[in-house]
Amino acid sequence: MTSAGKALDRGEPASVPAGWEVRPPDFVGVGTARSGTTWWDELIHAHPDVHRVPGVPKEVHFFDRYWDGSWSDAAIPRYHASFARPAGGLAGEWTPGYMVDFWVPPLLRRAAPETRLLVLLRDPIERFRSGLTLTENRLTLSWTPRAAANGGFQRGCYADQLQRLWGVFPREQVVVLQYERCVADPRGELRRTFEFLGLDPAPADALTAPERRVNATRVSKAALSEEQRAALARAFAPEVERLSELVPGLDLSLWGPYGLGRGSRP
Amino acid sequence: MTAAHRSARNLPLTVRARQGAIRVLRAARKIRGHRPPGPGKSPRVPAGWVVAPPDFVGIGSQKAGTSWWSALIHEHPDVHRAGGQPKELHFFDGYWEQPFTDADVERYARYFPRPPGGSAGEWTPSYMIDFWTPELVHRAAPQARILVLLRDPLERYRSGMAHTDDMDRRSLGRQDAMGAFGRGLYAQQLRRVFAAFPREQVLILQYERCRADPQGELARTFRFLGLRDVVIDPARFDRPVNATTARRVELGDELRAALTTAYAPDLAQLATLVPDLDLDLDLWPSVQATSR
Repeated sequence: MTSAGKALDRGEPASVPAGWEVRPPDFVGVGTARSGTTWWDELIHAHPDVHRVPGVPKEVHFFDRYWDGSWSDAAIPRYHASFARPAGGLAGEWTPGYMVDFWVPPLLRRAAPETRLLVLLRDPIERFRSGLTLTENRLTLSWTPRAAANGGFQRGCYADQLQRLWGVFPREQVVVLQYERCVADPRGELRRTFEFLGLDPAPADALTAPERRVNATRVSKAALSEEQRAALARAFAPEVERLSELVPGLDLSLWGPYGLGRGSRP
Repeated sequence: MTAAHRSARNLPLTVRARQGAIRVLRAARKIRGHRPPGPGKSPRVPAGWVVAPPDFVGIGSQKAGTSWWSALIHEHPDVHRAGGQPKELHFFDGYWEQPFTDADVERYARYFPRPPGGSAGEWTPSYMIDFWTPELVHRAAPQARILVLLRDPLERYRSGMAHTDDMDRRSLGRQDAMGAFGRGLYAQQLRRVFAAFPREQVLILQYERCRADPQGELARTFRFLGLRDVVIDPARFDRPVNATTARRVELGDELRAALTTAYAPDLAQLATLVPDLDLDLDLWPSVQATSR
């Protein structure tokens, strides 16, 4: 089954609380799947100034269906309808597929030109493994191990995706976070996230149990063989090298084989 | 009851139903017997012919005229193909799932019998996309000349979507669009090819250039393959084989603009990676965003 024809965006919220205003989102998370985005999105929404209308999901998937070029700017108000908030408050969503879907960044720019973009990246090999677990348990007609492997690889080519994003949005409107860093120092990285969003960072320090992980896969984890890990490490090497040039703050010591030495092939 | 059973009982019904269905499908696959990866039986070796790794392997790109170009290469009197052998062997397709061994190296060579002094090869345009494949091709055929035929990524995308539509007899979706787009990220793919093979072992051709000057580009291909100069009957150039017969998928202006923007970074890298490509606007209209 493909997603064709299915109304993938989750539609308008049931009702907007009285006194709230509807505006474009203040922030949109655009990447990346299997990298802790549900966890991070929850932490952001724990901030007292961030609001979400009941019924609006973390992932709105508003732009998924426009791969066929059927977009019209008339759809924009429908997107904004998901982002009501009391005056002075912030609202946003996080659909991790937006960054890999080539048609999405330009549409997002048209629908929310001022929005801040959040990108959470994870060691591409670990992301690949985690995504495999998810794919393997998803029953689709077109699924083959080969297609799943290629899809998982493409999603881990972060440099390509960031370059496409930066071709459409100014760089200062995009923050790139590292999942492993968020795990190691959740309060520090959350402060950074709040500051980027123009929020008071203080609530990050007060947060209780920020290490709680949501959406961890509940099915048995796929394992990669030694050979597969090595093949992935070699195939991702040029992509990780480009990424580290594009995002100088990236800490490669947190990413398995790439921590041994920048630019060296594992 | 084991811990695994207990945790399975906690899963939502839909997930459990899916897992059950997958188990049934996998069991059915086992009963039918697991199909070994790659092509069928290797050909019978004609008397006096020898078996060796391929002299050339075409690795890309899908929907870029590779069937046409492969057929023209096989017009050369010194290029041989044992009876019944397909253009695309897909030998390496299954080796993501299964380890590649020295026995597989030997098995690959068996697909390339040729009379002494002759040349043999194959062209599977998806080898370049499968990230595990270029280094396996190198392991199985370290001396092989590598052929890559590229086409304007927008046209490739359009043709690829028509191809998918035709093959699967189902409506297209987001995954197809993502897949078709990824197959046009040539610089990303070539980085892996150049990590496996020395540059001088790889020839990168452009479909549009081959169409404009088939005689000249074919002569270039023959020289690269170490073949003697032979003039091929121009009547052979006319008909590209395997042209998609499906209804032509047209890209609207909106999609065309989105693709142009999205391909721009990869095309800029391609220009650096392969400086002798003719990336001008007349040949590849989608280069627009890169050069302006």
